[in-house]
Amino acid sequence: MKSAIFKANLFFLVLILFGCEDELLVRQDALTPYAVSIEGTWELYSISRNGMDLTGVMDLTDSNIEFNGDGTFSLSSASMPFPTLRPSEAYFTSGGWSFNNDYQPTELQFSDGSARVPVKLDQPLYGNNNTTLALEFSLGCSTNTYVYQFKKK
Amino acid sequence: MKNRFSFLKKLAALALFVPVVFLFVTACFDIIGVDQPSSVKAGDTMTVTVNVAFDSENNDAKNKTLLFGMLVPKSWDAANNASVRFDSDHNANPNQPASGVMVYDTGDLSFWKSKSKGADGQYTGNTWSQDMETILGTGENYGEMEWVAFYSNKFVDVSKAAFEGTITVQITVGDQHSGTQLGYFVGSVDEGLKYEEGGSTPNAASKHYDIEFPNCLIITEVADGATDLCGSPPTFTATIAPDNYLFDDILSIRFDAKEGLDGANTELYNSGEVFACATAILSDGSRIEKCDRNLASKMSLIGDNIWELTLWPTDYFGISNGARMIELHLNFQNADGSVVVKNPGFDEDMIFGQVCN
Repeated sequence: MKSAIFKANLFFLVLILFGCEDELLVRQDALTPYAVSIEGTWELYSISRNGMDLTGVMDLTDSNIEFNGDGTFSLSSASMPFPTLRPSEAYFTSGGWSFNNDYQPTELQFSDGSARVPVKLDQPLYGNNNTTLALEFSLGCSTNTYVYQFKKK
Repeated sequence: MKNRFSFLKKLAALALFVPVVFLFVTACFDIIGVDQPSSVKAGDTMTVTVNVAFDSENNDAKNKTLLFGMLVPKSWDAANNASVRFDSDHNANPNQPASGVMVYDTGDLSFWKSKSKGADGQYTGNTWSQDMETILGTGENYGEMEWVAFYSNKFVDVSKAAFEGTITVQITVGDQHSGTQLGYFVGSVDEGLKYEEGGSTPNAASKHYDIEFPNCLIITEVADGATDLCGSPPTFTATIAPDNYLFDDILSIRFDAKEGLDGANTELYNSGEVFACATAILSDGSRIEKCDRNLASKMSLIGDNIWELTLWPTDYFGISNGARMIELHLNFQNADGSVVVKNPGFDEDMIFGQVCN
């Protein structure tokens, strides 16, 4: 009986000593933060207003936005409803852009040098290889929220 | 014979007595002019002077309580934003001068001054505000108005007197309306809204009260979405979604062909196609009309005779940088323009201003 108990204790001791896996090794370069990149041309394919899909009732032809690596942007057309196109306030189809945080951005800011127009990112972005971009903003009355979905061209 | 003579004596006595009674209860209020600006800026304090001629018509008129009513937009909150006083040189009884401040009537019917008297001179059980609206109306305004009443806080002795005086109102102008017709009532708590025999009081020789509705007041620098109460009333024939919007927003214009005058169908009921005829009014007064009945203005059928068109005004009208759109005027037409539906009951476009609360 004593022998059986001794063997059982020995078994668990061995299990404890050798049951753990090797220490998880993480490559140091894997933790290197990458700045988010959205360079390129993005095509608008979906619009919603206060959660209501307006895609089918709006003409989204030639509704693109281009983000350049030098911090500039341009809209393909002034016909696309966009927060930088408010005649009574800011009105510009091109200018500068920047993130509020280059690594974990939550907001995108457009500027023409004098006016600054912030819009929210409706979904997180990766460092590279982003294929979709979702922007959330108000066009007019602040009670209305628009979400635009873009896809990379 | 004796009985007949007795009857004639009574008749003669009655004939003498009736005019005396008549004279005793009558007096004359006559609004001889209202000094009201034609245009005022929202937020400013506007001063209005109502010039009144009073004639007691040689009657004893002690312990009178002056009553003043004003028709104003409800949004002006006159209860908290208006002050009223009356002035004259009449001071025959220094204890009861014909001048002083007037107090806002809260409508507390347990207080005798707040109890309205109607056309028959009897208590109606209503407030002055209620009876003034019923009997005097609300002028050219399509709604959203109220009568507010003020009475003199002290008795006035105007016995056997005839004189002119003024009632001065100071009121803060609200920003929810770009136009309204104000109204003014002058009378007494004692007689209220009583009619004279033979016609309405304002037209009778002896007037228990007088009223005046000056021309519509223009109000500038109003809030987004301000409405002109002297204009066409809002309609359910056309609506705009979302409920709160500026003209920078994407708007969905909805036309219900079933919502005509008094609930009847419009002339576009069961029409095969409907086009929006839209006009943008800019802050500089210029107009941009889009009434071509083309593909861009063609509405989509989304329900039982309900049509919708979604547009972004900035692009739809080509609003240029720096311009500010303040109104959208709409009517709806069939394909060849032979049928045009405007604001039911009015031969005018349906008018929409910005609403952003």
